[in-house]
Amino acid sequence: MKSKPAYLTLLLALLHGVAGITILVISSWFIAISAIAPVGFNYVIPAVVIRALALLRIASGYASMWVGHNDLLARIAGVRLRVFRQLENSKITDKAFTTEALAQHTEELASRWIAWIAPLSNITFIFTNLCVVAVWFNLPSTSFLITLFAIWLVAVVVQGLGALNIAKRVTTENKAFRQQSADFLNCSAIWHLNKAMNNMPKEEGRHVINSVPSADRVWRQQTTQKDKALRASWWFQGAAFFAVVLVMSGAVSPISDFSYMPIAIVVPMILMAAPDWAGAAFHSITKFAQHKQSAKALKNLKTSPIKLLERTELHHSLTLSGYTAKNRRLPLVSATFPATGIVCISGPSGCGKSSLLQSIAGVLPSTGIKEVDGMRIPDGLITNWRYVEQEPIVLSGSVSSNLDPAGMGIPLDDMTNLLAQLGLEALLPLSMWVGKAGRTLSGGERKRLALARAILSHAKVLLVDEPFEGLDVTTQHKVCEVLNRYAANHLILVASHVTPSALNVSSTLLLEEARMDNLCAGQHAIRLP
Amino acid sequence: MIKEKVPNRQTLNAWSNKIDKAQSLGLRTSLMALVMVKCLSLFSLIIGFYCFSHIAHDWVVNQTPATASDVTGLAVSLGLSWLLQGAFNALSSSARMQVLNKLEQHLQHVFIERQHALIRLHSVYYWQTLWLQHLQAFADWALEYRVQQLIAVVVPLFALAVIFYVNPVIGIGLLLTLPVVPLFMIIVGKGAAALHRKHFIALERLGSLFTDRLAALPMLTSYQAHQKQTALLKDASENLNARTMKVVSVAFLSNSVLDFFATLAVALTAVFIGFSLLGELSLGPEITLQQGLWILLTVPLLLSEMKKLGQVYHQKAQAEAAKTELAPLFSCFTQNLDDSAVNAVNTATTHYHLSEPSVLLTANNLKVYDINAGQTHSQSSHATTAVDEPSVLLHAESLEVSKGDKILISGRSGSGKTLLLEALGGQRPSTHTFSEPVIWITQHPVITPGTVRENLCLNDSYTDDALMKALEAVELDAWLSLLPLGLDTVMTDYPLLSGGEAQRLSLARALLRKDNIWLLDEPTAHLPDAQHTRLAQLIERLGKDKTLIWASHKALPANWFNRFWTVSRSTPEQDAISNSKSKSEAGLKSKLGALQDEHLQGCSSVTATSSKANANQKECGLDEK
Repeated sequence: MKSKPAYLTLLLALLHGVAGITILVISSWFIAISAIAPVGFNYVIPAVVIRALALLRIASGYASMWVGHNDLLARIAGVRLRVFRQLENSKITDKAFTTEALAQHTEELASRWIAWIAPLSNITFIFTNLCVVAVWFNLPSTSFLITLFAIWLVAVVVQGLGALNIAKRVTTENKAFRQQSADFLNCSAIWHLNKAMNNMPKEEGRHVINSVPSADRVWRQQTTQKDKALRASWWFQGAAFFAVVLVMSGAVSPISDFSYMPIAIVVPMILMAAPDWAGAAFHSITKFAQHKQSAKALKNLKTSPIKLLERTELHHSLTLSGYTAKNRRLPLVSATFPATGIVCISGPSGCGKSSLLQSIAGVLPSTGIKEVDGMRIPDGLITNWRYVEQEPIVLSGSVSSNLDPAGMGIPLDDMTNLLAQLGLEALLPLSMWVGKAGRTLSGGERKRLALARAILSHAKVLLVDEPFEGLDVTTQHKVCEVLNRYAANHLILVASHVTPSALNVSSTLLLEEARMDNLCAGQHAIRLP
Repeated sequence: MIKEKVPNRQTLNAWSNKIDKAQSLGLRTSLMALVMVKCLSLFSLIIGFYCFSHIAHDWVVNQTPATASDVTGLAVSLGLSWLLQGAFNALSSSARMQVLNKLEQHLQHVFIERQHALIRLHSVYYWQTLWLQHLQAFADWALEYRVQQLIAVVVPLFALAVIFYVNPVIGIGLLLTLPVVPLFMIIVGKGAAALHRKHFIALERLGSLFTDRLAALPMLTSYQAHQKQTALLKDASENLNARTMKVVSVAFLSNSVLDFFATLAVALTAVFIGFSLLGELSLGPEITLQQGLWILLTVPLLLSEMKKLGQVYHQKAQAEAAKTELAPLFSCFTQNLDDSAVNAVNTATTHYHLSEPSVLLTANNLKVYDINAGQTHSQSSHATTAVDEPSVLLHAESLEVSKGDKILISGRSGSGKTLLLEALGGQRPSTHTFSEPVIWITQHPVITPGTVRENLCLNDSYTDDALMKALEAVELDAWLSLLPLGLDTVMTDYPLLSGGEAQRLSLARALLRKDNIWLLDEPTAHLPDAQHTRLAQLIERLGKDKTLIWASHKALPANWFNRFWTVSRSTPEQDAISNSKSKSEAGLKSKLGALQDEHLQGCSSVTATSSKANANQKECGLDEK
């Protein structure tokens, strides 16, 4: 991930931290020295310095937040765009990889500066410099400060390594839970048959139900991650307090000229406050572990390129022989389709109507032979043929951007007319926002919107999956008319349970059910009349 | 913002209290214990500060080493503070796990109570998010945010009391400035909220574009729209970032206000104490180094806890989101708490059964409620106003089921046949349910990823003989003989089953079990006509000695059934009850007339009052945006 380091964020955060610790040191020294007020002590300068530092801290605090977030947002946008570009003409093969997970990973990746690089380097810098200054001025009990620094360093490293392990485990547990719960939820219709689930007494159902998956392990790992950070910072606090007690008792450090000077209380003050300004590192290091995990997940993101077949014109006929979707145990199809007209594909559910349409369009890989005008067409997505899904995707955006996702410059009048013909007047004006955070579309509306999109893109062949499901009779009629008109010079394959009488079907392809016997025999399922 | 926020917070708090009481989560106890331990820890830290400043005074002013009592005091108080902090951490994480486990159990109980009727409403992903993240968000808010909220109030009061005790002048000064902090924060918060509202729709829309377009990848590829959409995403994210920064630059001021006062309080107190010690200022009582240092150390505590509250502030918004999803699900628990006479009807019907064993169910004035309504509201509580009653989705004048009945439910798709079955099967709140377990055969047969045997047994055990007999009865014996490993063949994502065969497998499941009521929810809906006829005949034959309630919109021979129920959807305009009654009666009469020619025993009509009206309104509401 190559991107410019966020130096400004780092610098401002540093300024913020340094100003804070300096205020603490100077003000404690100042009131200590004021108490004994040596002759000729110039109290104005320290007082002014303290106030100036206070203002500096406030200003740098705001600035570092502002700059940090500005930078963060730009980075998120950058990472996401890069990921999105990489995904052009390819698909994510990992089933468990949700889009939300991808969004979260990109965010983790982008937030590294603000989440852990800045705080960690900040604290390290301050701690180192405090030690250097303490040694330079030969402050009393400097050795304790250095010891505490060493303890802090070791604790951070140990905590970081532990956090990496746990982050890995969280991911595994999460995956396992998603799998288990998906299996469990998909079976909801037969839960009532499962004796183990229903026989427990309802009144005192406080005990864990064994047959139901539990997110407990995921939560346990996440809690452990949090606890580890808390525990590390707790031990660090203990060490700091212990150092304070040792220093203040005077038992360990030899008495020198400096021992009772006002400057002597500086180191104890720093030690006392150490849990506050250095303890944050332990939470940052956890973020580091999560970042590593996200970076790994993004790196391992499995994608497979989609092979594209440029414009394929259909002039005479489309012929399939022994054709079916790959690896799906479906009967083989042999048929010839004309270049224009509507062919209805019917058959029971599970017989592979959708799979057949998808493999003709090249969305799914196939076996067998597909010939266009006598030319064999290899597997691959045919860019000017359109498969219209049963559950089409609606983009979150305006209606016009949904109808013209590629920005082909389709005239708005065409869009409006077609929507009206499909009975979608409710989606006008074209600037209306649909999808997420906009108007939600019903299943029937989505289907018709997708159909309009396909027609407007001037697809040579339309492969429409269940266009009439969930539509009332009048709307079905409208859809039929649109399809009839388009079929005058295009081929339309319609997979449907129902065939409205208004649809000008030129022929019907009946698919048989996928059964053990006809699969094993490898029979040809059908032929066109 | 305040106007919107306050009721929200109250409802979230109130809901959490209610759920805490109803489900004995122990939130209140944990909350109190946590706050107590944390406050004690900080209190002993303040004592530690006292000893610390005392020793410093000895060093600098008296030029003597620390006294033994001071060192002991320092060691004890710091040690105590440290140990209490440790206890706080341990308590907090164990309480969190405990609450999470309890919440999860309740969720599981809701699942089991409502079963498929509930699960089918949302996607698997929705339920997973609810389960994994929303429960967690609620627990975090309840045990972290609320604890910090209390601490942020209590600890400053503590610190202020100490400062007052030591030096009233500084105390008064701080007391006067302290209320300014929340005031400024409120003003800033208001400004930020106004800005957020202004950009709300844009933020909402642009913010989800990335995930939206990712989900649309296949479509973008097939339309070759990737380039265009990338450009669009780029513009959108620039726009989004600019808007977000506008909101955020104001929101950050809130943090800066805190920082401002925290820093300035320390700096000015230090300068004030220094000048007092030098004798340049003589306000209030004499001040010593010990007192001055003690105050200086204590002052940060005034605002540091409030800063920590700011760090967990996001938990509130997440808990609000979680609440909106969880509240309806858990509502049956909270409502059970409200009325103790819950199962009045159930007991009544049970008595009835005892007297007349052949009658399985007699329902007068049956009502089916929304899935998230509380348990069975008794009929006898008609005195309660209509406001109390959850919305009735389905209503029937009178239904009767006797043992061995064969009932056909007909009606247009979407009219509520499934609702009625769910109500009778006890998966959906209603006034009447069967008092014995039922068996469902649904539209889409479920095949689990396990073996054939596991698919049939489902955590039960049956002999191979029984399994074979059941498979034979449903005519799957030929299919089984083709499987490579017989009963132990593992079903994969694409099992070797056609739709009809899968439905037969679920019939075999039903046959294996002894329960006598079968609820059939369009078992043949997705099969072609030939298959439909064969499977329907099979079901009819196998269900001879069972009670069948069969919802179907495909034709079935009328002589298979002795009762006919019709479900029809009344239009939303018919809000008056009398209207819908007369309508349903009219429907009933016409049906009765038609059916009595065939000498049938009875028929009933069920009316689904439309819930579409609300849905439509919602859509309209969205349009306006």
